[in-house]
Order: sequence, then structure tokens, then C-alpha cells
Amino acid sequence: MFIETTVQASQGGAPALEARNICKNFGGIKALDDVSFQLNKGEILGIVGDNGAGKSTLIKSVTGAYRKSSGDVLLNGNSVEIENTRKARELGIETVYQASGLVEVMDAPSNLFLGREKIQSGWLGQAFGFINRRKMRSETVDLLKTVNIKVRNLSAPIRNLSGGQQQSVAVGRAAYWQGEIIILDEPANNIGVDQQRAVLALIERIRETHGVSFIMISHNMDHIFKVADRVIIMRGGRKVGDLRIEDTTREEVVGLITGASLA
Amino acid sequence: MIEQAMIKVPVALRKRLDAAPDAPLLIATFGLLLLMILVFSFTAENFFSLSVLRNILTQTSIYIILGVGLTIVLTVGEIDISMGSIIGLAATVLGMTVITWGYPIGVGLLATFIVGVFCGFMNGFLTAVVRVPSIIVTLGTLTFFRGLAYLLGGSTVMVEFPPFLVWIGSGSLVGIPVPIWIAFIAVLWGYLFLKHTRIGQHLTAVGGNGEAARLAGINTRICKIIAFLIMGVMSALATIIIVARMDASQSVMGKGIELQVLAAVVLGGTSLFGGRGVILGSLLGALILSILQTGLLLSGVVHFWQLIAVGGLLIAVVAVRISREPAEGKT
Amino acid sequence: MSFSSKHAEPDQPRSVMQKLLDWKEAYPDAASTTATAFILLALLAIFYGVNERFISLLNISIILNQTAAYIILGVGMTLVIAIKGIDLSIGSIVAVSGMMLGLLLVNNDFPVWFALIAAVAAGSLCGVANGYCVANLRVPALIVTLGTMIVFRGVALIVLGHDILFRYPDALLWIARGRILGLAPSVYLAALVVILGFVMLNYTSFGKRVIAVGGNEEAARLSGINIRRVKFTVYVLMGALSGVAAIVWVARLNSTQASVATGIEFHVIALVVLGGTSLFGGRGLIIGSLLGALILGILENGLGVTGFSSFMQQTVLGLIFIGVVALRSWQARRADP
Repeated sequence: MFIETTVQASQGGAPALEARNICKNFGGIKALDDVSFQLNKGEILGIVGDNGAGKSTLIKSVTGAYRKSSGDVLLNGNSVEIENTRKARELGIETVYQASGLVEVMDAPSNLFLGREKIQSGWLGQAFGFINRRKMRSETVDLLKTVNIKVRNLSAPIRNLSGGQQQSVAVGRAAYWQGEIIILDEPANNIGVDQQRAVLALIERIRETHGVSFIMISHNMDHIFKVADRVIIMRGGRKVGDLRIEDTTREEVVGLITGASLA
Repeated sequence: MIEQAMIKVPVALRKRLDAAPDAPLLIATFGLLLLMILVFSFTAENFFSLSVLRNILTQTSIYIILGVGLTIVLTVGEIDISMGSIIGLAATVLGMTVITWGYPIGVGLLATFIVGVFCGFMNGFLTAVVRVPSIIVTLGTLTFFRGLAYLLGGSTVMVEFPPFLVWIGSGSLVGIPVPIWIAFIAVLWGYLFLKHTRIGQHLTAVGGNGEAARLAGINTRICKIIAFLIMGVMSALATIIIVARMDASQSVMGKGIELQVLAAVVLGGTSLFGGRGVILGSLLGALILSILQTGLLLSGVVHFWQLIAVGGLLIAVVAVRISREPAEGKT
Repeated sequence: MSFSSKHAEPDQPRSVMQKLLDWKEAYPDAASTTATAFILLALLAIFYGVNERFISLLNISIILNQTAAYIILGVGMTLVIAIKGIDLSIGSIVAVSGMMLGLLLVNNDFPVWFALIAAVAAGSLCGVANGYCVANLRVPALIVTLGTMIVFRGVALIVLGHDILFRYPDALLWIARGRILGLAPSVYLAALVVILGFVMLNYTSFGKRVIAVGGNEEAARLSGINIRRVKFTVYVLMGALSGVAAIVWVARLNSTQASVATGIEFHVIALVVLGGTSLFGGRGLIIGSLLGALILGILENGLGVTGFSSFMQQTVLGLIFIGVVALRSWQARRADP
């Protein structure tokens, strides 16, 4: 069995996020079997594993998108109950989901403020929930400027943007809402190489300017080794490795993913 | 100089159009409406008279009100074909409260709205919570509500409603018939609600991508229930106008109306797949259908040919739209 | 219920429940159809309890004769729904085909066989119009058939006006009124349609393509299936079957009018859904639809025999329909969260 390494002691202070003994069953199938991990403050933690290893299930169980079967989640050392994604966001956990986080038929401002629309300040807003499009629009312009995305038409449905731009809007949205923890599910999947580079640069920039901790699920070893500080490896619903990037090699990580080094 | 100006105008126009993505669609639909009016002004006698216009608008007000409700239901990615039966049930209840039991008209109107809310909630609950596809749910409630209406009212016709209700049907305010006022308010409200309020924004998001909306913390079930509730309230509103205009209520009222309303909304450009609701388009769609039917009637075309024109127009408009917007048409 | 699946020891003999669950997993269509059959049996038992005469040979043959047209339409609609389509125009197609019969047999003296072919051909032609708009113009099926529902009815009204045509030749009436081994020929016709539909959907390459197109259109396209042709063919088949149903319908009523079969599309969709076919496409249960049609027929007949008013019948029908479908979707969600 894999033995926990405590990175926490070396840094002092509680980790930004800690998951303890997470289990998730779908019917009779164990999708997650007793998974624990820590995310330290200001860290970029990579999660790797083969298809079906439980990477997405893990973060969905932690952030309340799925109801976990058992286990605990701690934020800054305090135990929290995250029943749904709204609660997760209130607690400062922003998640960028693979391919499904944006409403493609709506424009960029609507997506940026999805579920948290700016309301008009007067009685119109208070009584009827009238939204302040002008303000949402101007803040979107500012945000897109800071993350260096050029959008010709802010009122056009977001499906008219390229995949990389859409992904940048999604990452930018998480940063805009000042999440203390941003979770990225395959942030650079299905987009062009240049755009992948731009998204990764955006992640590093947000960490430096906002002091955010990241969890990043990826298939791509290059991406993990480029930006992550630490990586945990999932296989068959279990955590089979938890390694600092500087102490490991691609070969070792790939071996853990496929199970070769444990055989 | 001249060349520059010629380029600049389209750019400015394009920017305007960019800011309002529904504008090209509305302009095209409006063009169709104008074309139709133009054609009928030649073929139909007295088409341009004020009384004809008033008549058309008053008749159409029912479809416009129902169109607002259906647009909102389609926006959230669902469908409701039970509105005709809701009208039948609400009309029966209105008639019984006021005529059979002799309650004042205020109680009758309240009862009508309660029926609308009850029916809408039932549709919404079965769709959002029990998660039966809405076309099946409303197919079932189409039968069920009508059955209830027959059960309560049989086939009796209830007549002689109080003057206030008759005034709603045939009275005027500032020279404009009351049903037109009601329809106007419904459209204005629907437009502001869908485009400029937080809940409207959430409804659009749920219809556009339910999963993304859920992950963004929007309660998709409540959004769907709200849409069906609005449809129920609009059905009650339409019921009051129908009963008031005929000064009679009967359990068979509203039968088959869902097809005309669906046609109007689809003509107006609202997507059947959710995420795009064009309230003003539904208004234009309802007007197009009415003008087509009245125009053909006044031009001396037999009723049966009108049916063919309506069906053909519906398919043709959607076919043209899909050929121009391949992204939407691909399944 | 949970005792069976999780705690069964591997060396113990498998419980009946476990075997049932395995069977359900391996043969979902058969399991679903069996569930529908139980509903049918329960209904029969209830009506028999209320009125013993309900299950007499005479009444059963009456029910089957009344249901034959629904069964035929149900087979076609199962195919349409299996490709994730819908057809609201079938009632109007029945009217057009019925109009054809009336024109040829009542207003003129054409031979019956010719009229039958013409009726089916008229139905097929309507199906061609639907199929062309759905498959080639890519207009959503709901819109197309909503439009053609109005158009086809308009055609029947233009030709027939408000006339009622009757006095059909005996050879046509024999289809619904003759008896072979105690049952009307229309019942055998419906049975033939069910068998052909079942074999086609489950044992032919066309059937596989229908399921593929309904289940995942993109995957079907990438594997080289001509989606347009499959969709087109299904709508033409639906049209042709509507023509066949019109023959049965007219033969039973001995009359034709333009307003015939108004609103039956909802009944037919309802019976297909009752039979377990999913509206999300990729699955078609022909036998289920047969049972669904019988449930509908038995309910209509049984509620009448046991003395429910026709007003009450409609309410009960709607309630039972909603109840069964809600149960189905609840069950489906429990199996696959």
C-alpha cells in the first residue's frame, strides 16, 4: 500500500485544501477507494492517471458536483461540508470543468457572471432582479484585457470563439471570482498548441498575481512538468503516488500510471 | 471620401448588429410581416381599414400571450403542448365559480389563475423533479386536464358573465381594446424578464447548457418549474380573454390551440433546442399567422387553403433559416 | 431488494432475484416488454373482476378489431421514435388515404384492389414529403410534421369539404367485418405488420441502421451509414402504414370524412411510450408498442364496459399514462444514476 507523505509539516500552517479518505460508489462500482491528498498554499498540484482512473470523479466529489459516499474535506485545516457546487464557490473553490463549464449559446459577459449576475443598484434590481449588462460588459472587457484575450464581438455567442479562447474565459472566470483554490479539469485539452501555451502561462500568471492554489488534471506530461510543483497519480480509483516534481521523472510517473513499477 | 463613407456605414451597422444578435432575425421576420401586409393590401379589399387591424390584433392577443409563455418554456429547453387543455379546465372553473355558484367575478378570476398555477406546477414538477421528458408529460396532461374539464363542466355552455369580464373582452382603454393592452403588457414583461433579469438569464443558461448551468450553481429544477408556472399563468390570462370575448365558457375551449402557438413561436425564431428565446419574434410570428389567415379570408380564399398556406409557410421559413445557419440545423 | 446483489456469496446458489436482475441486464428490451405485459395482465384482471363478460371471445375480438389501426400505426411510430424523430401528421395522412378510398370506391367504381394500392400510395407520398423535409432540408421533425399535419388535413378538406362518404363495397368492409377463425381480417393484417416490423427492426441490417442513427447520429455517420436515406425511408414507411391503417379504419366505420382520425397522433405516441420505447432514440420495442396499443384499447373498452362516462375515461387514461411513464423514468434513473 502507498504510504502518506506529509508535506504539511515542512511548511507550517494548514494546507489550503485537504481531502481525507474520500470514497465514491456508483451503484456497486467503487469509483474512488479511500483517496486522501493535500493541496498546499500557492501550490500547483497535478493529478494524472489513465482514463477511468478516477481523476474527474475525485475533484467532482471534493467540490460537491457529486455526492461523495464517505470521507472529509478540510479547508485551511477546518472541516467543511460541501453539498453542492454553489457552496464550494462560496468557500472559494472555483472549478473549470472539462468542456462543459460554459453555455455556448450565451455571450462572454453572461458566461463570466453565470449564476452571479450583477444586479442593477436601484429598485428595479432589488425588486425584480434586473441585471446590469453595462457593468458586466465593462468588467468583462477589463478581465479579458488582463488575461490577454482578444474577442472581436462581446455580444456574440461564446461558441464563435476558438477553443483556447473559451478555455481562457473559463480560467479567467475562476480568477475573476477570486477563488483561493482553482481546480482545472484538462485545461489545455482539445485546443491548439499555441493556445495550450497561452492557457498554461495564464495559470502561472494568476498564481503569481493572486496567490491562488491550483489543482490541475491533465493527460499531458509536458504540461504537468512545466507548471506543477507536485503530482499525484491515480489508478483504478486509488491514489498510487504522490511525488514532488523535482524529485521525480516522467518515466517514474508514467510507470505509476500504467502500474508497471509496482508489478 | 465617398468610398470611405460607404465602408464606414456598414461597419457601424455591423457593430450595432453585433451588439444585438437577435436583430437580423427580427428584421427578417418583420420583413416577412410587411411583405404579407403589402400583398394583402392588393388582394384583399379593405385590408388597411382600422377596424380590420383592430380585429386582427384583438384576435391575435390570445396567441401572443400564450406565445410569451411558450417562448419561455422553449428557452429553458422544454416544451408544453397542454396549454389548450389548461385553457379548457380554467374556462370551466371560471364559468362554474361565477355562473353556477354565483361568486363575484374577482373570485372567479382568482380561481382561473389558481388553475393555471396548479396545472403549470404539475407539468413543471413532473418534468423537473420526476424527470419525465416534457413532451410526454404535457402529452399526458393534455388528456388529463381536458378530462378534468369535461368531468367538471360536461358539455354545458355557461353564459352571461358580469359586465367587468365582458369589458375585458370587448371594452377599450384610450381607444385600444383591452385584450391588446393585456397582450402588450405580457410581451413587454416577457421581453424584460427573459433578457434583463437574473432569473431570465438563468433560464436561458439552463436551456443552453444544463450541465454548465448546474455547475455554475444555478438550480435547474427550479428554473424549469418557473418556466412551466409562467406558461400556466399565461394560459389563465388567455382563458380570461377567450371567455370574455365570447361571453361564454365551455370545457372544450382551447382545443388544438397549442399547434398555432407553437407555429407562431417557431416562426419567430425561438430555438426548439433551448437557450434562445425571442419574445419579440413570437409576437411577430403570431401576427404573421393571423394576418396570413385573415388576409386569405378577405381575399376570398377558402378556409382549407389557408391551412395549407400556414403549414407550408411554417416549414419553408424554418427550412430557409436552417439553411442559413448551418450550426443550428446540424443535429 | 438490496439483499440479492451485494451480499450473495459466490459459492451459494444464485437467488431467483439475482437471476432476474442478470436477465434484465442482458435483455433490457425483453425485460421492459415483460413489464408492459404485466400492466396489461393487471388491467385484464381488474376489468374481469368488475365485469366477467369483459373477457369473452366476442369482447376480445371487438377490442382487437378496434385496436388494429392503432397497432399498425404504433409499429410505424416505433420506427420513427427509434430514429429520434416524431410524426404528428399521421392523423392527417389517414384522412388523405381515407379520402383516396372514398373517391375511388364511393364516388367511382374502381376495383377494390386498386383503391387499396392507391390509399397506401397516397400515404407513402405524404411520407415522402415528411421524409424529404426532415432528412434533406434538416428541418426538425416536430416542425415538419406540425406543418404537414395542417397541410394534409387541408388537402382532405379541400377535396371532401364537409361531405361524409359511405356505402363502401362489401369487399372493403370484409376487412373489418369478415371473420377468419373468429377474428376480423384486420386483426391478421395488424399481426402481420407487427411481425414484419419486429423482424425488420431486430434482424435486418436496416433495423441495425435505424437503431444506430437514433442512438448516436454522429457515430452512425462516421461509420458510413447514409443517415438521410435511413430517415427518409422511416418516414415513408410511416406514411405507408398510415395508409394501411386508413383502410382498416374506413372498413370498420364504413365512412370517410375529412376530419377522420383527428388527434390520434397523441394516442399513438402515447402507446409507443407506454410500450417502453425511449423518446431519446436508439431503442424501439415493437412488441412493447403492440402491448401499449392493447392497453390503450382495453382501457377504452374496459372503462366503457364497466360504466365509466367518456369524460371520466379521458381523465383516467391521462392519469394512468403519466403514472406509468413516471414510474418508468424513476426506475431507469435508479438503475443508471
